[in-house]
Amino acid sequence: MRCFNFHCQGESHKAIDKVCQDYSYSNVDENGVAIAIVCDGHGGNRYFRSDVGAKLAAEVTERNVRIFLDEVDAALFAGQPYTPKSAIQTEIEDGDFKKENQLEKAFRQLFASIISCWYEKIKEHAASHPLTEKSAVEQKYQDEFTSGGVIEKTYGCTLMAYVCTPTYWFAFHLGDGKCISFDNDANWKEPIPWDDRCFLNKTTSLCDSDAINEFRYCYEGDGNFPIITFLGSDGMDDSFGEESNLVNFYVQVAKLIATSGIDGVEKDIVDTLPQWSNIGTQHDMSIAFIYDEKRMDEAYPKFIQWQIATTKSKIHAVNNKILGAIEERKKLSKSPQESQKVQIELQYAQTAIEKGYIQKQQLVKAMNSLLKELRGEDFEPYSDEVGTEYNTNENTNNEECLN
Amino acid sequence: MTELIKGTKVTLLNGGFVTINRELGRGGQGIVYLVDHNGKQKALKWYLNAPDQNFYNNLNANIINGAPSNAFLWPEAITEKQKGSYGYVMALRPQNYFEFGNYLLAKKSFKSFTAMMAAAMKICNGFMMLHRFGYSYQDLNDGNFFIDPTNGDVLICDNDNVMPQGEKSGIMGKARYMAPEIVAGGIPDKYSDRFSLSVILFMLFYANHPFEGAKVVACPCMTESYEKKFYGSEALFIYNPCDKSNLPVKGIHQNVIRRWPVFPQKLRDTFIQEFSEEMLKNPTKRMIEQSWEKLIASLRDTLVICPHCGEETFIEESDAEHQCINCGKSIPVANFLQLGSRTLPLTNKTQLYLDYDNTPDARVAAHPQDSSLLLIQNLSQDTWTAETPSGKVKSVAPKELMPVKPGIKISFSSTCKGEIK
Amino acid sequence: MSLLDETVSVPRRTMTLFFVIDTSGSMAGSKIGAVNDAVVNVLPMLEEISAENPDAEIKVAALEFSTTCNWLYNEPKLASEFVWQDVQATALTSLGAACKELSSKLSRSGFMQSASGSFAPAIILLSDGAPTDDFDSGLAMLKNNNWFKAAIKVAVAIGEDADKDVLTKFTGTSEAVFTVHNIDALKQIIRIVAVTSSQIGSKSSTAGDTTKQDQVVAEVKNAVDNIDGAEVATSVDASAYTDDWD
Repeated sequence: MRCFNFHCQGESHKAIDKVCQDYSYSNVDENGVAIAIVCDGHGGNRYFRSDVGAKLAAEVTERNVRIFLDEVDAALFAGQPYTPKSAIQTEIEDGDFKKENQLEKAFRQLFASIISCWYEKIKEHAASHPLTEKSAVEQKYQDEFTSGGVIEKTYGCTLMAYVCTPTYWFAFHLGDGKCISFDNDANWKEPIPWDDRCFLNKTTSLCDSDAINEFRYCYEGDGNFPIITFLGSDGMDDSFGEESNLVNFYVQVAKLIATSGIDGVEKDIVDTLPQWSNIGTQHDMSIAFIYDEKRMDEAYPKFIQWQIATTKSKIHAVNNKILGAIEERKKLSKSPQESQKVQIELQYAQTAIEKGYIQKQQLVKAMNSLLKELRGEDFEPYSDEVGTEYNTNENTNNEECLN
Repeated sequence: MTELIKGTKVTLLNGGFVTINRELGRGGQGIVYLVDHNGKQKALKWYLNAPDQNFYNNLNANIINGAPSNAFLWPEAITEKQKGSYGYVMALRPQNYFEFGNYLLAKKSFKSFTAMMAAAMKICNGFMMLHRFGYSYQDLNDGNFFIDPTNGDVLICDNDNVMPQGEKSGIMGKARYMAPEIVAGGIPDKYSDRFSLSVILFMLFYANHPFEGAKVVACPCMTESYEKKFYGSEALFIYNPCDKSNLPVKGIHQNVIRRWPVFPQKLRDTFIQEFSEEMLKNPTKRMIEQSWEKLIASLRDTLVICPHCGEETFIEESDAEHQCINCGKSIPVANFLQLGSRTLPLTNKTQLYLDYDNTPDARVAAHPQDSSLLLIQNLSQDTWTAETPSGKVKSVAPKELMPVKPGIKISFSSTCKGEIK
Repeated sequence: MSLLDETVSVPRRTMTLFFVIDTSGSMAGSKIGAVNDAVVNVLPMLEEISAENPDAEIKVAALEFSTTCNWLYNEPKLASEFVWQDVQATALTSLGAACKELSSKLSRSGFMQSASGSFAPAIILLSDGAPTDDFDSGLAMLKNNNWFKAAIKVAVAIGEDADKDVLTKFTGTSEAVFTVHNIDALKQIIRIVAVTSSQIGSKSSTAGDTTKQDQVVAEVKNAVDNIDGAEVATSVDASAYTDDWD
């Protein structure tokens, strides 16, 4: 097992001199126990010490997970298949009234201990660090902090962790960000169930009054382990938009580990993430991952194959768009040309065809470089019946034939 | 260990047989099957590891003696020993009952405080009857109770662990629900059951365990030695007024943090008393079921509907001003029904319970044409006799109405008389 | 090979502005003309907001509803590429059906991208009448939709016959319902609401206490004070209608 973690300040935070509110941790010890943690402090003014909250949450989680691993009856994990457990609210909506088993009760105890120790730590911090952030923070949030009743909002953050031992693994999550794991065949999944309450800029939080019921998690003790598992804060999600783009980035990371080892990857990520933040959403970003270095070589071609399959399905989608637009244009050209609607739609169809071919060319280029990566210099370049060039003549001919 | 497949016939000790249909669920001890018994659907609990002959004999004796009350989903027939094990037949649990554990995780919640009180009442009554039959329960826990969230009706399951007092079933209960002396190795009896009853009632009202506060959640893993400490030798009530080291924690114990201050004072006082060091160490001093019934009845007496937000709220008799626990607005209470030592507020939409069962005997309603005039409707089966302040005697038949007017004396029955104040 | 090879990032998120337009018979004539005119004129302004905004690009979608409902295009289009097609007014007011249609498109399989690549949408409802179909079941569906819940929702009541209670139910607050009494005011309010929603909707939120909807309402309210013939709906005291003795 090997691990890596990195967090960086978002460009938007640099601009206004706001500290990084993300925190990450990863470690593999001599017993082969690997732990990765990512915490994301909430950005808003109300949460003006969330950077501290995130760091404390990660530290408390690491400590309590280690105690848990020492004391838990490992037999509880033995033979357990991969089991995802949703947040309580999700279970209610799904009508899931199943009993908790002993292991699930043990997890609940672990989560409770993390919340409780986090509260202890932020209380200590608040007591030893009187309010100094005066200028930047609205009065009502200062009052909330100084009145002593509610300090947890000030330190509010999310929490995500992945833990792998030689005989079992588990992962848990409260809030947004994503955990993505890959198996031997480079199939990916989000092993931890999602919580629909995390949507757009809303997230569940360690500072929520019902935090214990917002934890969601998964475990497995049947001998199957992910080959590599990534934790990424919501800054990562935001930089990639569609989830498949994020997954593709992780596949790139996995491939790079297989070909150039972790050292190159480390440098690349440290260089790249701030760039993503710069051209992207400007958020803080953090990433942590754990992988099995013994299985990476074997999986390497499968990661390429995954990318080829994904690119292929994108090409199919673009082909369908192109063919649909050609069809549409054909239909419209037979309608009365003086109608405003027909004119507009004809123009749209034309634009769609042109744009489609530009996209197609880019995708085919990407496809060919993947094929080359997989098969070497003598690969067979990609081609299909739709082609990569918009052939005006051919289309006209077709139309005539059809007429 | 033998699992049973569909179509298997299992013979019963008293003759006849049941036919296996399908599995309904399984636990540590065994599997519950849906079975057919003479054309009726029943449940069969089948042990994976057959308990010993004593257990078998006790179960059979319980079946012969019958259920202590209708709160129990009682064993109805025991099977002959066969296929290396045995089991017992009971009625099916209806769909609308949910395991108590669901209420603790807030997956299910009571439709109303009235339903919550009804559940408490039914559990108390069940235990009273159980002890009156000379039994003790042995393995009381959140998996034994199934509750209907709408009306609070309760079914107590797993009654194979019910033993005559002083005997031990051999099946170990869960530490969280055991009296400290049982955690330390003692034999369950009615006194330890009473402790378990207090725990169950506390959890019913506050959806939190009475000993699970800061100390307990500080541990990342609940080992057996911690259990022995936190539920046994060092058990400490979360709201112990003398030792605040085990207070509930935000983010974890939200239910009790919210409810403890707004539920009635006498409930707080009772639990502080019952979970005090003295009571933990002196089992015989613990509150008896009848006293719990009386307390729950008096809590139910103080339940009214807030005229502002329409939600149920408790009012404190001792307070001059009554505040809604939901919207915080003041609730006017002009009249009371004095019923012996009980004082029942007469406000619009309040239901009145004269005895300790869960069926309301009367309700208060506003006059359809004049909302300032309150009426009492007789929901009981009996005709009441009312004497007006001027001495006229009137009778109020079932479903009939009478006005809420100070000075009227009402005989609900020969033993139950009250006066409107 | 490096991490930048083959990886696609989304430099900007998307904010979709929805026009939901009543094209029932009563809208015929100058009202529908004013709507067409106003939207055509506001599109270049949205394009400008989109071009100058580093956080998000703005896309536009339009749903017209009369007896049936119909999307102008079967996908949201960039403000810069959206060509308005004049809508015609006929027949009934199937707002309930429009709600259901809107709800079906407020989804990943409909018009929306992944939440992490998006801002909450802004939805502008224009109507001069009362629904003639089952509005409540349509609205109930919409109210369960996460995108709708997070959306900026503003309604414009055209004239006194518009059912303001219905529009209030749609936006969730009477504050977000603006009434206009003349054609000029209608054109102006469409412009102000569309521009304000786009400006506020396409910015990263500052996680303050006020929602984007509240910010839009406050700004539109200020602007409305300066328009003759436009007003904020006055909230109705619901308690006056409830039975004291129910």
